[in-house]
Amino acid sequence: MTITGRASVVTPQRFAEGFSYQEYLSQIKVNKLRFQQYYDDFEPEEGELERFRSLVGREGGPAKVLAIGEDWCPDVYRGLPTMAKLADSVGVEVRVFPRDSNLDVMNEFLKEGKYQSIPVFVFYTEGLEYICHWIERPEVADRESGEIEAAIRSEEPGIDDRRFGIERRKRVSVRFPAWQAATLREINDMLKESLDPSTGSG
Amino acid sequence: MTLPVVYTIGFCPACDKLRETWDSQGIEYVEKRVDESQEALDEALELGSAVPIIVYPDGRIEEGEFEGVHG
Repeated sequence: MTITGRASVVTPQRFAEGFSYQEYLSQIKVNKLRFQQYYDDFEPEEGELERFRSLVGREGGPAKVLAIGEDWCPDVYRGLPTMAKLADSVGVEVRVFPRDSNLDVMNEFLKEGKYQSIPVFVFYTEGLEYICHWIERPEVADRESGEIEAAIRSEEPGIDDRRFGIERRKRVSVRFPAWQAATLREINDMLKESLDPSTGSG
Repeated sequence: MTLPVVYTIGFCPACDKLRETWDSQGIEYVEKRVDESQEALDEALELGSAVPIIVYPDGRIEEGEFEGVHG
């Protein structure tokens, strides 16, 4: 079943049709180096990695992850390697579905019920029972992006569009490792909340 | 004549709308697909964060309006 109560298109057969992470990398057209960089450079905080490992080890915990993405998207080439490295670290199966050729899957996990935002990570039990899903980027990324843009405008009120874009890109990219760490924390909190709904996160 | 440059992806309603509108109005432009070219994508990443990204001959840059689709 989906989160809306309808039968999900994500059957065991469909899930198995997704790419493994390495298969996904082998067929993407852009950003292979960035995917590799954000996988290789991501060092999960030990405490958070242990939290994730503990959640995975629980009965009814996450054993499979369905990931939706597209290779050109910065949130994907940062977030998907993050998820892949976590999964590889603890033995969770990841299947990757390109969004634009799997819109029926995408449309089960829309942001705010209407946006086809990516990446999406959907967590399932071993028996492919839905647990929860995470969308696009951690909250801190949205907040810091806004702060960065405001700071640039404040420092140079007359900055032209092109120089603004270059400066924004430079400052935002520096934050990517911290946003990878925040992604893991949010995933852990979300899984904990889903598995123990009465106790909250922590 | 310098033409506007438009950075797009294949599946993008806002990009489709831009193409349809400008094509119907006879507006010429150069389209660069960021999902098919690393060079085009790297250029686009320094211009904006949402497609379509339009770079006008006078240097102005506009980022796409999303009508149901976020990248």
